[in-house]
Amino acid sequence: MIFKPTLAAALLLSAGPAFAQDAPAQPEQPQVRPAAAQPEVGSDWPFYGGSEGAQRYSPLDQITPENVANLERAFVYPTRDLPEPGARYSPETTPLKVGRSLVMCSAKNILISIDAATGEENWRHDPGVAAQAIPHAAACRGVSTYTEPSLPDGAQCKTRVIEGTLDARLIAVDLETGQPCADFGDNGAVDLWQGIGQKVPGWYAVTAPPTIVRGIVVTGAQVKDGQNRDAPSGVIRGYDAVTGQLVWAWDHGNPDNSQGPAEGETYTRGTSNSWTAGVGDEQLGYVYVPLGTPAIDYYGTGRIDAMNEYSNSLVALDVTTGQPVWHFQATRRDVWDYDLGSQPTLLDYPNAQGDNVPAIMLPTKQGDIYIFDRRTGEPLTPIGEVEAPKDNSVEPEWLADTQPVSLWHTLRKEPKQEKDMWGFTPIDQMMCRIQFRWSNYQGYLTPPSVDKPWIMYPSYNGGSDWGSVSIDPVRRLIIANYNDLPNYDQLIPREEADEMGVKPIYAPHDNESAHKPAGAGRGEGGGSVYPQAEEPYAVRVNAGWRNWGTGVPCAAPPYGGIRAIDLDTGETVWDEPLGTARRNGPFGIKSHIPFTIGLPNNGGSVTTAGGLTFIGAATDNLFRAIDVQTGEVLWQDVLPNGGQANPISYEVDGEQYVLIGASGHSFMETGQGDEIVAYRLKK
Amino acid sequence: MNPLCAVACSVMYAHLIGLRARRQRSTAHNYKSIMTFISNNATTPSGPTGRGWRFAAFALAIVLVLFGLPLVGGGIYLIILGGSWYYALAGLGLIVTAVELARQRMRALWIYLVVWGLTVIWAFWEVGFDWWGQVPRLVAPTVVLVLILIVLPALRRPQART
Repeated sequence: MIFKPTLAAALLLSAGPAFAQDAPAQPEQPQVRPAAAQPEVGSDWPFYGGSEGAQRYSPLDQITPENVANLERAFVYPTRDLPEPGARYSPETTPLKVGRSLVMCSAKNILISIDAATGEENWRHDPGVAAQAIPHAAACRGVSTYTEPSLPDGAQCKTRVIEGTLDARLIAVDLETGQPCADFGDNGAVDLWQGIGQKVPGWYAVTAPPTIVRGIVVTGAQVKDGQNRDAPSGVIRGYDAVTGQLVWAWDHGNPDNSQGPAEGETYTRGTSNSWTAGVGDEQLGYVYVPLGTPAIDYYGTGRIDAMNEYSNSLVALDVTTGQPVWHFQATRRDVWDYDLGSQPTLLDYPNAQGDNVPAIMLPTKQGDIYIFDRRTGEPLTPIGEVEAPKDNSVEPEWLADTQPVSLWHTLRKEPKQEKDMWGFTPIDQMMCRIQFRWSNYQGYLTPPSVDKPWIMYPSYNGGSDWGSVSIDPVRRLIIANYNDLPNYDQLIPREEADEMGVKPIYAPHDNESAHKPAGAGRGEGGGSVYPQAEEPYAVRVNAGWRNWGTGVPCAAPPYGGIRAIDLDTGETVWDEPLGTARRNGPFGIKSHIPFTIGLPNNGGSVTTAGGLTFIGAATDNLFRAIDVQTGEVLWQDVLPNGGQANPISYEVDGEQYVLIGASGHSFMETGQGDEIVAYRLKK
Repeated sequence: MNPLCAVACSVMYAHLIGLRARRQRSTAHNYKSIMTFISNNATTPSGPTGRGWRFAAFALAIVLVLFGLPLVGGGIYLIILGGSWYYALAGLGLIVTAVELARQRMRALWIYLVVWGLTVIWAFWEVGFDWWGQVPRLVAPTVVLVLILIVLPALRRPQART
C-alpha cells in the first residue's frame, strides 16, 4: 500500500451541511434548559465514563503501586440475571456510583441499586425485556442519571436513572426507590420503536447509556448488522429528561423528520446507527455522537448520498436543536464494518497557537487517534491521507480513492506478512500460510472480494472498541488497550448464499426453538455469515481468523495489548501485550500456561491518581492493576468470568474501591455469569 | 515466553500427540507411560534388535510419514502460491528420516539432525527471539528429535548390518 501522508487538516475540516432550518411550527416545545453544574468524579462515579468528559480517570489516590498487593474483595454482587439455555449474554456492565449507592443495569436491563460498600441490594426494577429482544447478545453497558433543578427536593424522580433497553425503550426510575417516574413517557417508559417501522425483536436494541445534556436524553440504538438495506433507521433522538417527550430527531437521511416522520412513514431506513456511548458538553450544549457503518456493512453501491456523507463520522449535534454543527468522517464509504465504537473523550488540548481549547479525542477501530477542537471540529493533531487499494473489489467505481489517517498516533501495527502466520505445529502453520497467500491483501484498506477471501486487519473489534481509552490528565498519558488480530472474510454470491439457507433476522426461522431466539447462532462468533439480503453478496466473516479444525488463530500473538501514549507528543511511552495464555490452547483446551501472550480484549480501563490502571478486558479472565508509568502488572485476581466491562473506582467512608463487572462475554467466549466484583485495601 | 515455556509447551505437545493417538486414555496416563518408557530406556537397555524397539522405531516412522506427507503436499502448494519453501523441504526431510527409521538405520538420526538444525536456523531467521512465534517452528520438530533419540537403541550403524 502506498502511504502518502499529506497534511490535509484543512481538507478534513467539515462544517455542518446547510440543513433547512425552517422546521415546522412546534407546538408545546419542551423547555430548553440552561447549562447546569455537572457532578464531579471522585468519591462518586457519576457518568458512564467517570467524568462528564468520559476520561475514565479517578482522582482517588489511596490505592498505589506500593500497596496494591493488599487489595482484597470487598464484595461480589450477583445480579441474578442469567441467560436461559441457548441465550447469549455479554452484560458489559459498568455501574455508576452516586452517594452511597451503585446503580447499574443487568444484561437484560434490570435496573439495580446496591450499597457501594457492602453490595447489599437497595432496590431493583425489572422492565421485563423478552428473550426475543436479545440482539447478538444481551448487553447493557450502563445507565445515566439526571437531576431536575425545577423539581422540589424530595420529589419523586428529582434525580432519576435512565436506561435504554434491548427492546428499544427508555426507562426512567427514581434513584432512591427504583419506582418508575410517573412523569416520564408512559409511566416511566418511552417507546423507541416509534417511527422506526416494522417491529422485529432483536433488530433494533439499545445497549449503551444515553447521553444527557441540558435535560435532553440523547440516544441512538444498535441495529443488527448485515441483514437488509431496508433496516431500522440510525436516527439519533433527543427526549425531554422529565417528560420523555421527543424534542428532536436527527435523521441524516431526511432532515425533514426532525419532529418525527409523517403518519405512516419511518425515519430513513438503513442509515448509520450509533450503538456506542456518546459524550456531552453541558456548557457548549453539544452532544458528540459516534456513528457506524450503514446497515449493509460489506457492500456499498446504492447507499444514498447522506449516508456517504455521515457514515462512520463523529457528529457534533446542537442538543437544543438536534442539528449537526460539525462532523469528521473517520472512514469514507466504509465496507469493513469499521463502526466508530469507542466513546469519545473530552479534554483540554493546545491548538496551533498553544492555547488550551475545549477538545475531543476520538479513537477508532483502525487504531487511529484523533483530537479536535470540539467547538468547531478543527483538527488539533495532524491528519493525513492514504490511497485506498481497489484491486479485486466487486465495486471499484464506488469505493473512496483515499482515506484519512492519524499522523499523530495509531494503535495499528504493520501489515501482516506470511511469516506472521501461526499454529501449534508446522502443519497448521502451513495451512495458515496457504490461506495467507491465497487471499487478497494489500494492507488494512483491502476492499471486500468475492473471488478469494480478503484479510481485514485490524478487525472489526479494533484497534479501539467500546471500552475506549482512559486518560491521566496529570501525568499527561493516554492509556489505550487495543485488539491486534485479523479477520478472514469473503463475499458470497447471492445465489450461493440462498442455497446455503442464510436468512435475515426478519425471516421466519422454522427450526428455531424458544431457546434459540433471534441473535443466537449465526451472526457473530468464529465463522459466521451475514445474509445482506437482497444485495448481490452475503458475507462470511471468520472473526479472529481461526484455523480450520484446530480453532487456533492463524496470526501469531500478541492479539491485544495496552499502551501508554504521551498526550502532548503522541509518542508511545510503553506498550505491553495484555493477557496470559492460561485459558487458551488448541482444540479449546485450557493450557494453564501463565505466560503473557497478549489476548483479544473488550472493555476499557480506569486510571487512578494513585498511579494505577485497572483493567479486565482480556479473555484470560484476570483483573489487573498496571503501573501507569511503566506498564508493569503489579497485581491481579482471577475473576469468576470474563471482565469484559469498564471498571470504575469510587470512595465510601474514606475507603477507595475498584469495581468490575465480571459476568463473561458470549462473543469473547469468557463464560456467562452475573457477578460484579468490588475490591478495597485490607484493613 | 522463555526456555521454561519451551519445556512446558513440549510437554503440552506430547500431551496432544497422546490425546490424538489414544483418546480413550487419560493425558496423565500418557505422560506417565512416556516417562516410564524413557526411564526404562536409561536403566535397562534391551538389545538393539529387541522386538519392542524395532516396533517403536517403525511406529515413529509411520508418525513421521503422516506428518511429512501433508507437509510435502501443502508445502508444494504453498511454493506455487509464492510462499515459503520450508514446509515442502521439511516434509521431504521427515519422510527420508522415516524411511531410514523403518530400516533401522542410524542414518535416520544424522539426517534428522540436519533437518532439525536447518529448521532452527530458518526459524530464527524468520522470527528471531519471538518465543510465541517459535512455538509452531521449534516445538514439534524438537519433540520429533527427542523421540528419535529415544528409539536410538533400535538403530544400527551401516557396518553392523553385514
